[in-house]
Amino acid sequence: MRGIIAGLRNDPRARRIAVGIALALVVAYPFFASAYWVDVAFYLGLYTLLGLSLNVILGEVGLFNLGHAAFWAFGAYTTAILNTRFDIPILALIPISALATAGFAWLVTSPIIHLRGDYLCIVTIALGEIVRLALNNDPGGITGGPNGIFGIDRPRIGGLVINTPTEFYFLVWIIVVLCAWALLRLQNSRIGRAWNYIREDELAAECMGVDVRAFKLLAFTLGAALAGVAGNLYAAKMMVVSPESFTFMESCLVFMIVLLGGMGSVPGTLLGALVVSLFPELFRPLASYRMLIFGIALVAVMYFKPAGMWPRRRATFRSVIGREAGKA
Amino acid sequence: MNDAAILEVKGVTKRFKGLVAVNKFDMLIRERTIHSLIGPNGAGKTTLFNVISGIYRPEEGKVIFLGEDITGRKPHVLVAKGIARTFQNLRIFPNLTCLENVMSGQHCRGRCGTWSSIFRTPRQRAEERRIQEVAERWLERTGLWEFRNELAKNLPFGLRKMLELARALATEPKLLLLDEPTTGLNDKEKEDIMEFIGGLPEMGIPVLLVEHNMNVVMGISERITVMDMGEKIAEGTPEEIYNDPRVIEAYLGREEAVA
Amino acid sequence: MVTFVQQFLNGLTIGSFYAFIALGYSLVYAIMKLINFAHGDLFALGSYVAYSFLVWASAALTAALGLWGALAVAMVVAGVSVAIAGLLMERVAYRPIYPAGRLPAVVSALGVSIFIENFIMLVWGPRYQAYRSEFVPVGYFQIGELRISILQVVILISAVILLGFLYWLIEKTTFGAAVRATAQDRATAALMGIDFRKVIRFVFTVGPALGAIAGVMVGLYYRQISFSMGWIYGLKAFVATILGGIGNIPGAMVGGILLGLLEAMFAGYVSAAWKDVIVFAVLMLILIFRPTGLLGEKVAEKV
Repeated sequence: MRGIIAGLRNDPRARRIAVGIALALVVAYPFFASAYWVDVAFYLGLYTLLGLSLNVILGEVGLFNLGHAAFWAFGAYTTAILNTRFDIPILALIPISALATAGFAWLVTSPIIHLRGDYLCIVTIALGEIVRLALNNDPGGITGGPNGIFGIDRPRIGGLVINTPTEFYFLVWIIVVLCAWALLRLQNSRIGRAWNYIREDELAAECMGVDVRAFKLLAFTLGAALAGVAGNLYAAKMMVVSPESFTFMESCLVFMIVLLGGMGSVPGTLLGALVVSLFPELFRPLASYRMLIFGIALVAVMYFKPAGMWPRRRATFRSVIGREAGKA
Repeated sequence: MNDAAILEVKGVTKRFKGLVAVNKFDMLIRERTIHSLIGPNGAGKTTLFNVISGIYRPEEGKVIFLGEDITGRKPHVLVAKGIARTFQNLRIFPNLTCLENVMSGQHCRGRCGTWSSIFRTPRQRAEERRIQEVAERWLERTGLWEFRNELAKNLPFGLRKMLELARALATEPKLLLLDEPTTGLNDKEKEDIMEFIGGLPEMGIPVLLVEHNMNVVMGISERITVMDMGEKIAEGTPEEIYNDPRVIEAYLGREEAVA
Repeated sequence: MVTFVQQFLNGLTIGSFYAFIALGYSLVYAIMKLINFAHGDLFALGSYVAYSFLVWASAALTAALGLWGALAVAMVVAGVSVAIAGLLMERVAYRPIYPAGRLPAVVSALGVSIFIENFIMLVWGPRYQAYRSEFVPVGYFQIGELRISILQVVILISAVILLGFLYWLIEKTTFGAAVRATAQDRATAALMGIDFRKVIRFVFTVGPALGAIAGVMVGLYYRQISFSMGWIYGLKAFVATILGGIGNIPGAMVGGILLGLLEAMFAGYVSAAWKDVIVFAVLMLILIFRPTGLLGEKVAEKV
């Protein structure tokens, strides 16, 4: 089995076929699964998107962000407020939420971006809490307090209203596939490498010409933008947003998705999201014990697979100067 | 008669709270030379390097590179201007391949941003190609070609030092700062690396070298500056330094006088 | 004026709780560079253990030793149980994972935190529990318009004694020097003959035990406890640790007290609803302007 996987990994044509099959499965899935499970798959997609958004910050650059729910919340509330108050259509709000959240991230992380590892971690936790508490306190009467905002519209494309689990499923997964594609492209570029240099050794990266501050900010804004999109989709699906959906626990869950799957690994993030979404489902019969088991499972996974379930593999480049390995 | 000045250190003083690590230091590096900076442990050599490469901002004094005042500029800016360095304690990127490590040198020579990277515009593809090409050539020249897809952390120590050198050279520098390039190497490795370094000025890359090993330094330098307790105590050709009583005194009783 | 003193005392009291918990965080962090997310949950566990113990034994103990005696026994019981839990936690969830790196250790800590929190919920139920009135001391001092409860006084005095004792232990004794040495440079400390296992045992018993004592005090002070209180207290205590400077053990105490004061003053004079926000906002401001904390961290990086 391992031989087959290794073989697949190294053959680009085999990889393309595998991806093709996976995509076909994704498209076919709603047609042979029940509405309940299609719904579950929507949330899987949502968590994958969140995982990918945090992966840019945590996986690629190695910045400990434990307040990611703040960005998710910002996107969700931006959509909620602009939709319920100004009747702006949901789909139009996707780019707006993304931009707004990116702007917010840029504003709040600029003054703290230089902080070292653990200090940054605690500040992001603080940020997450500040956002949640602020939303709860209903400043200026725009966030609706603990009850939140309700009556959010559904997304519309022309005459079609996106309403059913299957329709939402396709909406989220189209976005996830697009984002994954873009992120994979970035991984294999000067930008992605710069992020990894920072993660490996910030000082050395700076001394190799990487503008560390600028790239860290880029990661945060990009990650926040994607989280903002996730927020938009969440708001449209639930039709209600409230602060209790965006707790520290949610930030921890997304953090765990990235770590369980493998830092900086796009397929790994999907796997991580799978574990985190499916775990409550699969263990539902065990009711209250399932969270207990989840805690144990986390420790176990970190013991057996600390690099994650699908760790990132570095790219092997085809030589551009025409040499093959091993030749003198 | 004299080659042009590449780098000028003028009256640089660096203090850390109470401690004066570098004191009113002057130094001039000319093109096409290998200039060594020697001195006992704790003399302030690495601190001076850190000032030149932008990691520290000096309290007093100026650093002038190719006629431009670069004092206190950030390191990544200086790399783009042409100053590259290696580290005393080796700071390669351990979990990346050797090729990726060396490609980092070319980062500052690229311009493409997020959008062009996602959509792989022709300009971006050409840029990526060039980055890879320069990196591959330096891997070849430093004898690391067969390790290019190997993770840097898996390389033996001697090759990692070579890798850091290749990485610095990939920035296409106009001045190379090497912090103890032979420390920790065996005799054969020392020879190889010094031979390589010796060829750099002809390629148009002057070198400022910090070293402990006197034999290495004597054999290869055009000019030597001796530092002790943050101050310059002597400067001149290898012959002049070898016979300088102040230098002998500074090294007297210390282990690293002869390797 | 009265409000000021009242809030000041409240602040000192809350600050003591944070200081106790912060010390535990700081000790573990200093030695292992690990943010022990489960620490706050150990504090909650202590509170619950003492609660059950008091429900079971308070009548008999109060008759034998008086109410304060009973409470003292309860604190010891809670402290010891949680210390054992702490040692177990270190052995099972941290030691095997720590070699893999800091991030897996953080996830493991989160896993332990989830486990303990849900364990508490399963055993004691998801609703608030209340420390019954029969084991909470009543009585207060009245100075003019100022009302200070005896409980508050006892808490403050105990805090001074305990924190003072720990300060002495860590800063002035040989063993404390061993702890500090390990915190600064583990490898060298080992070479100097310091037994790392002993230091770990100390850190994972004393830290949790302090947290447990704080837990009992919180139970007595606020009367209501819930399974989720672990993480909010833990979070604030970690804020206090950072405020004082990472790895700086006296700093954790100072940070805790300051945080408590800040919170109480803000709640009293500006707005109770926004008091948590201000705590976090102050933290961010301090880190922006003084990145190594108020008292400065004791962890440096050499180029």
